[in-house]
Amino acid sequence: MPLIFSQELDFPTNRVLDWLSFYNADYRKYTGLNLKDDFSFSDKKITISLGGINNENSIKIKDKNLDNVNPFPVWFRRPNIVSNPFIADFEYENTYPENLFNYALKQRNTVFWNYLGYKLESDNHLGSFKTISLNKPIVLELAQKFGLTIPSTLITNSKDDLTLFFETNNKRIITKSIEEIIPDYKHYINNEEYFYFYQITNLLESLDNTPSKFAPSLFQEYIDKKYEIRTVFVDGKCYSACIFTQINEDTKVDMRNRKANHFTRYMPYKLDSEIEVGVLKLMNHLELNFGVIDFIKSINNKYYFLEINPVGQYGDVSLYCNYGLHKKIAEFLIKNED
Amino acid sequence: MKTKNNTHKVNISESEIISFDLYYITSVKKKEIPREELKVEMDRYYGKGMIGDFYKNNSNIFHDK
Repeated sequence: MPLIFSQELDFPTNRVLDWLSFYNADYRKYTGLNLKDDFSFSDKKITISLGGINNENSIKIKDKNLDNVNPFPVWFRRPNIVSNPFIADFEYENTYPENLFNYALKQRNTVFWNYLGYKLESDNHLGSFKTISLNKPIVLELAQKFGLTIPSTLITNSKDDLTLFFETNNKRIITKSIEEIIPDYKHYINNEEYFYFYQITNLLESLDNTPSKFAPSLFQEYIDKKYEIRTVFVDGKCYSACIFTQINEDTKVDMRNRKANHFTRYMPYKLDSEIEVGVLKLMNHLELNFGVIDFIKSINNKYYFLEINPVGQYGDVSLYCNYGLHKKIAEFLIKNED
Repeated sequence: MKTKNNTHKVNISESEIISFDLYYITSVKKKEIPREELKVEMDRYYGKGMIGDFYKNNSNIFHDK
């Protein structure tokens, strides 16, 4: 029975569940809402045995043995949003500070949750329990190591260095978050209207009126794009889409900056084989068998690697390019059940 | 700085600990789309066969929880 760790509202997860239902496959979807049903230890026995003369390792939850090799195929679709089920509030009154005690408690309970993730990840899995976000500078460096070209990049907190970088890159650079973008937020002003807060990649064509003080931040040369490429990496294969972001003024810098129901054109795309080899090496190095990878093809016909999102959305690529990735993922989970 | 039309920036005071990108959180005023209108919109794509499963029980789109 495939176990799926995701969010309550995640479009691709539910499309995969549709396919699992189509194949009459049983599955268990865990979200923040139902994790405690199976994993909280406040109301059930959880026992891990390791070592001894007979080397008998076991992990038992509710007397059900998960065995030393995980028997279930697991899809870590979006485990990052799922809270640790072993952490709960409790009343504490003592001289030892509550925040320090809570810190120690959280550390201990997290060890068990991480161990369980490690066991579930030991075999037959898609996605990653431990790698839910990646360090951008590290990934950029690794991408270079594996033969992929990256845009000229600067990480600095110096306005002088930023100005020099700006001047040497034809006064056109972009700035984006060094980590994930901020979570979207709706602030309701009445029942009907709201302010929607979000973040996109910004193009800087002037440094006037920009902050003079800032923490080390990521800047990259602006590359004139022919189009963008989004590659969905699933179990060793690349499924790529060419995205015609340059047709629409709004999506030229950041393809997410599009009006609702104004579709950007997608087409199935085959990356050059040496780029696919670089991607494969990079993903193997990161121990990832799923990821959504962004590239740019410049007007000079050069590929630029941008980033990998290990829990990225892939529904657009699947749908517009007829890759049927939801079906393929469902089949991956069923196949590995045997 | 180019930002989307009809948006305004969130005002964050300058500090050495704030990453450059966080000065450019944008917000846009939006109106909730009535469910009936949304259904009409979804029907357009449903009819074209682009997305054929909006109304399934486990679909995200009209999840009532």
